[in-house]
Parts: sequence; structure tokens; C-alpha cells
Amino acid sequence: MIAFASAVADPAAYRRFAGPGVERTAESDSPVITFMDAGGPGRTLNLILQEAARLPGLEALVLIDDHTEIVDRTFCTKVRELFADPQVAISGCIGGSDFRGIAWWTGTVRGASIIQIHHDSAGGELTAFDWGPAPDPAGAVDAIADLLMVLSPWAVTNLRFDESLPSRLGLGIDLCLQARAAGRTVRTAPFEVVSHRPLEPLQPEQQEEWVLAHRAAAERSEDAADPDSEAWKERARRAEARREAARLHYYFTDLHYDAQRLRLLRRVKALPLGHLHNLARRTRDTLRDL
Amino acid sequence: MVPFLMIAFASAITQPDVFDTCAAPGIRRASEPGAEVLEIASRGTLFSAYNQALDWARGLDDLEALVLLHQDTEIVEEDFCAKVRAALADPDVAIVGCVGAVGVRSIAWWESSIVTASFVHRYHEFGGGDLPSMTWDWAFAPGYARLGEVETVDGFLLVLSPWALANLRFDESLGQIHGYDLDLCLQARAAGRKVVTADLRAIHHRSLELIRDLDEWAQASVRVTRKWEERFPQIGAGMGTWRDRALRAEADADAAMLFAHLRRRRGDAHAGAVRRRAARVGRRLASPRRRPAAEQE
Repeated sequence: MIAFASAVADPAAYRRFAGPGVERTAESDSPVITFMDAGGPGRTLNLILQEAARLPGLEALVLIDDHTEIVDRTFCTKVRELFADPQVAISGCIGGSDFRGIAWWTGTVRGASIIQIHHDSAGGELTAFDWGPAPDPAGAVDAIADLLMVLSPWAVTNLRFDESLPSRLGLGIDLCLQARAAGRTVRTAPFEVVSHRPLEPLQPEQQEEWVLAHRAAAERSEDAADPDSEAWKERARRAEARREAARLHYYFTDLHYDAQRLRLLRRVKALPLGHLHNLARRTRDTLRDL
Repeated sequence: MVPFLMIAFASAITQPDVFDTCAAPGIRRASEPGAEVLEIASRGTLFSAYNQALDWARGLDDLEALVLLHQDTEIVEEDFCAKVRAALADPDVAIVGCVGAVGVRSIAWWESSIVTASFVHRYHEFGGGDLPSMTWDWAFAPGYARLGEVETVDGFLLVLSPWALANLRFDESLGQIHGYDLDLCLQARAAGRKVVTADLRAIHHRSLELIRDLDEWAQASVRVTRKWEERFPQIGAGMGTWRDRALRAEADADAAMLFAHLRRRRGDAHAGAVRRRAARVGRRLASPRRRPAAEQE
């Protein structure tokens, strides 16, 4: 049996997006496990793993984000095909290899191109994770994006989310690294999902949290010996230069955005609203007289 | 007989129309009768074009100063030459600019403490607009704003003293276009000379897309840091071990790129939404008037 689960941080989003997708996808014997936040995202997800580990005949556990809707009619078939290989521990829609920290899109990206429907800013549709390169076909990766994670029974029994991490950001990546450290593989698969995250899934005020999570992940994977070596100095010099360039890029992107908005405001102010109002009134009166 | 003294101007030109509409009117406004102006048709790097300007200026007699300005920089100061002379009255002053900073650690001088910024960034996208800087209007300048000695000035408008002309060169090993301003200021300061700001107001006509090649910019920054970190320990300084600094900077850089993308995404989405709405309104206005069903029968 394939179980579905969610650590519900936003109940309204779960009801609107993840819940309907699970209802459509789940098989008649599929348990659905949901928990509200139990003192931190890592802890809540571990509660789910404990619960799932007790399920007899578990074939896979699907961990789904509140804002992710599964739209794949053959989802369960794909899951079974994937876990026919006992080495596969974790799967998802999209992920990357050879990346830094938690920025999985900075390396080689593999998996499915995911549609993101945002409901803010007048709504719209775009490609999720379009800040990274277009993905190569699905295959083995170092870690996957945590909008959807499918865990094998081995993973459910043997892996746990690291509750000491400073943020929910990076929890999934850490779990994937644990699986690979145990000799298992992580693969993406062409699961069809829609992400209903907002247009800006991370708000500017979350930047520091993101940086902390990124750095915590990098700390774990990087050599800690001789932190003042020439190699580290060289890397720091390049990284600091790149940071300044990136901040400059951010600054000008922000200016670009403000200029776009300013033009819009100017155009709205320039609209002959008085004339339009008179025109609408005359039209209404004319229609009434017809 | 009083010798004829002159302030000359030079600009490296890759887009003649930009020079004609931006730098040229400013030079006409600021220059004195008889002033020499060099228009360099730049095919190489900005560094090499500016070295050509230095070579040219060295051949001029009785030169008081050379003004190097970008082709998109428009001087708006009517009494520009008087202000240049006042700034160069101190013989130790080698370089004068209209934007300057202290506490500078890299070619990203704007990440230090800016004390003077007497310019307007005029962009032409989205119907155009002006972004006045800190000391464009001194009536609104913050308390820490001031003119005087700084560690570096921005290269879009540089005034070089005769000493600077005779003793400094733009270091062509550093790159194509970035970092020449800080490097030149460090050369002057290493020789015991001063870099100062003056209230030389200018308009910088430039796009909202500042840097086309971020990697090239970063490489130039590394090269300038390597060149000067021993002579000026403040260059490239930072807290923590090199490992700490590398990991922190990598995280910051990835975050900045990600958040920049998200910001652009929001702008594009807003523009798309407005276009869709405008199209909808247009369709409604263009469609045949709906009349009550009873009347249609």
C-alpha cells in the first residue's frame, strides 16, 4: 500500500491544493496521515515517519507539501515501478547534483518541468524553479526539491529528518544526503504535479533564514580541517566577489521592478477617468432609452 | 605674461549617439573656451582607451587637469572648472570625483560608507525616470554627507591632476571595464596622494541593467583585491576564517541571485496581469453591444 502524508503548516492550502490531489490519487487502501506543526517542521515530519513505519505492507510514503497538487493519473504505478529497484530510497519530481548548500538548482538539474500556478498578483501560470536551468530527463540526483518526496519503506524505517537544522529549508536535502551516505540512491521521476506556491515562494524577509539554512548544509558537507588554508582563501575571495556581483544584480533588478511599477502608476494617473466616467454614464442612459 | 591654463576633457566612445546626446552637451556646458576635447573611438578596453587619453594629455602644454568621463555622463555644473580648480588647489590631491566612499574593501565601493554622491541616475526604460543620489541636492543630504578626502571615487567622472597624469596608468591587466577607478585611487594613495570628492554634479544616463557579465565583474574584483590586499590591509578584509567567509559569501550570493529572480518574476507577472486586463477591456469595448433579450426578439 502507498501512504500519503503531509505536515500541514497551512490548513487552507492543504484543503485547497494538496488534499484534492491526494483524494484523486490515493488508492482505496491508502492511508492519509496529516499532522499539524508539532514544534518544528523536522519534528512533525518525523512524527509522520514514525506513524508510517508502523503501517503493515507499506510500499511507499508520499510526503506532500501543502501547496502541491498531484495531477498524475498514473502516479501510483510510477511509484511502484520506481521502487522495484530496492536501492532507490527517495524520489521526487525534480532535483539536482553537485550543488552548493541547499541551492540544488545551481548544479545539474534532473526531473520534470513543473507548472506553478500562483494565486496572488492577479494570478498566473509559470514554470516552477525557473531560476535554475531547464531540467535534464529524470534520473539519479544528489537531492530533490521537497515539494513532493516519495520514500521507500527502507527510508521510512532508517532515515529521520534532522530536527537540529535551523529551518524547514534544507530538511529534505539533508534527508537525501543521509540516504546517499547509507549507499542508497535518490532519483527523480516524471511525476506530474502542480505547485500552487505564491509568485515569490520566498519573501525578501526570509533571505537571512535561507542563508542560514544554506550555510548549515554547506558546513556539513565541507572539509573543516585548516579553515585558513590557501585553498579556502582563494575560494573566499571568489565567493565574496561573486556575492558583491550578485547583490548588485539584485539591486538593479529591484530598480527595474520599481521602474516598471512607476510607469504603470503614471499611465493610470494619465487615464482620462473623468471622460470614461462620462462616457459610461452616457452609454448607460442611451441603453436605458433604447 | 600669464600662461594659458586649461582643463581638458576626454571620453572613450563605443556608441557615438550616446556620446552626442549625453557627454557632449555636458562638455560644452562645462568647458572653457579653447579647452581641448579628445573623443576616443574605443575598440579595446576602457583601460586602454583611458591610457590613450593620458598619453594625449601629457602632450598638452599647461594642462591643469584632465576630466575623464563616460560617454553616458552629462556634466550639469555650470561652474565645473571653478570647482575643479578649488579641489585641486591642494597640491596633494591627485584625483577628484563626484561620488566617493570610505571603508572600501573591494571594487564594490557602494558596499562601504558613501559620503558624496552628487549625481542622478537617469534611466530610459519604462518611460524613463530619475534616481537622484544622496548629495544631488544638498538641502536633502544626510548628516554624514560631506565633500573632501575619500578612499575611492566612482569612475564615471574622474578629474586627474597634472601629477596623476604624469605618474598613474590604468592597469590593463585587471580586465575590460570594471575596477579601474578603485585601482587608480589606490595607486594615488599608495604614492601618498589624496583622492577627494567635489560637488561636480552630473547625470549618469544609464540602463537599469547595470552589469551584463557578472562573472567578468567578479573576476575583476578578485584581481584588484589580490593586487592591493598586502599594501592596503583593508582591501579584502573580513571577519572569521577563510572557510567561514567562503561559506557565508556563497550562501549570500546564491540568496541574492534567487531573490533577484523572484523580484523580476513579480515584475513580469504584474506587467502580464495588466496586459491581460487591458486586452479584456479592449475586447469588451470592441464587442457588439448587448441588448436585453426581449428587445432582440
